[in-house]
Amino acid sequence: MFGPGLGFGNNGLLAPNPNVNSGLRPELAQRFAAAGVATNADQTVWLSDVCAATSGGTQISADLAALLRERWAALPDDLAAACALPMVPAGKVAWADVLECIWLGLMTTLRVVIWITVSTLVWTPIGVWIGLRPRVAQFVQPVAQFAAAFPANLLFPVAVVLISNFALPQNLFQAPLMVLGAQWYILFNVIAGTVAIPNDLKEAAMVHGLRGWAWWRKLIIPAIFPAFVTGGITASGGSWNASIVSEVVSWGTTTLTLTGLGAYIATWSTGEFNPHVGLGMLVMGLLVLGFNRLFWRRLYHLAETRFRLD
Amino acid sequence: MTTLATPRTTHGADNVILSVRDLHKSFKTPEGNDLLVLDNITLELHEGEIVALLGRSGSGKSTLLRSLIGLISPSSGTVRYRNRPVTGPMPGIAMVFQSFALFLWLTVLENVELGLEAQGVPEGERRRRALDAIDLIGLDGFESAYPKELSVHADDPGMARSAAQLRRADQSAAHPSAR
Repeated sequence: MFGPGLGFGNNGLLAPNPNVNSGLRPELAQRFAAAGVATNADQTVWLSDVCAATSGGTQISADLAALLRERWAALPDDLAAACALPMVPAGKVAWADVLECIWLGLMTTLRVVIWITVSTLVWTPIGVWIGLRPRVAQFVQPVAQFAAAFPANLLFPVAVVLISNFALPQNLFQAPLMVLGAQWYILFNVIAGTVAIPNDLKEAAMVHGLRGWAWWRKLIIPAIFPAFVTGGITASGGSWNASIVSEVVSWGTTTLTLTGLGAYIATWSTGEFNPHVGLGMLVMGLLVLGFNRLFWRRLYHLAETRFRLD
Repeated sequence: MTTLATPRTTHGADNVILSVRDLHKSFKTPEGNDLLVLDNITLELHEGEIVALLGRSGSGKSTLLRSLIGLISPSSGTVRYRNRPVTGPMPGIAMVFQSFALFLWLTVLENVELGLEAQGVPEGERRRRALDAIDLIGLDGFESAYPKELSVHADDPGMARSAAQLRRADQSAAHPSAR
């Protein structure tokens, strides 16, 4: 709908069709209108609009010529030559953008998978340890819930300072910011799942002599599985959201960027309307949907049928 | 609070299986007070004996059983099984829980094999002993059923029957490790 746009046509890349009313300024849009160039309701003036009003850049009125000389109008020097090229329709994204978005989306998916896995491996043993001790659980549970509600992005500037000052690898130190706020869902669901294990079952495991890995495999993992799945779905959804604010983080003059769909959406979210944000969010939505269908839904089904405790 | 006298018995001291001396158990209430549940329990179980423990609800029967099996440690006093102190669950003593305490994600066979597996019994022998126990309680044919499916597959779908089957599966789970 909006934005300079990219596109294919006539067996080649189409010339960009930028919005020449840079900054979407109403006063500038009014001057274009006064000079006879159609402006759009959203204050955009596409290069194609100027071409249409000037018979392909050949008949330029005095008013418009004055406008074209001003640098902030962002018009090409040779209007007739620019208008002669096949141009992308006003404000469209092209298939190339879609492919780029899918590629970036897979990068972010990989990041979500890795860091949710790491959170699981870290918080499951800790959550089980806490859940087996009701007094500790009583104290930790509200703390974990508060941590989940705390806006983790308030802490991002600290990460920017540390990463840029010590030249830390971004994939190891910036990427986990996406689970900073989401990991707690795993923790408090694992705690809740462990607390809910019937005492008789724990004692039966003890009587059978289950210890070590067998205790995890036969008792704990199946018993907390439904609660973990709930936590995992919530946490991975949260990390997807957080990727938009964590793949591009800045503090002062420093901006750290990771290649990913979150960064794509964040960079295009400049306050102007443009189709790239829409495309990015559509692709992200579909990836989350696909991931939930292919992965979490199967685990959920397993949890519902096999691992229910009642 | 339960107080037991040593049962009168004609058996000699040499075939004592389980002996309890001066067992005390108290719990901390949430208010921080001591709640005395077992006071000065002394008893002996001999080979071939079948002993029933009777008492009102809340009188400490389960606490005593849990102490005997080593699931909870007494505040004072000793429990000895075949002359070895009981400090935790040990092979030879089993317990059938009041609730089913079945692992619903394991099949009947896997439930029965669980204790044997944890004891490191080799797979062939484990399988044979577990199948024997399942046959013994009349659950043969249900080895690969999950506990929840027992009530579905039972010839008689009545609640009483499925509950009985579940308890038998539970007993058979406890049985092999006690042999």
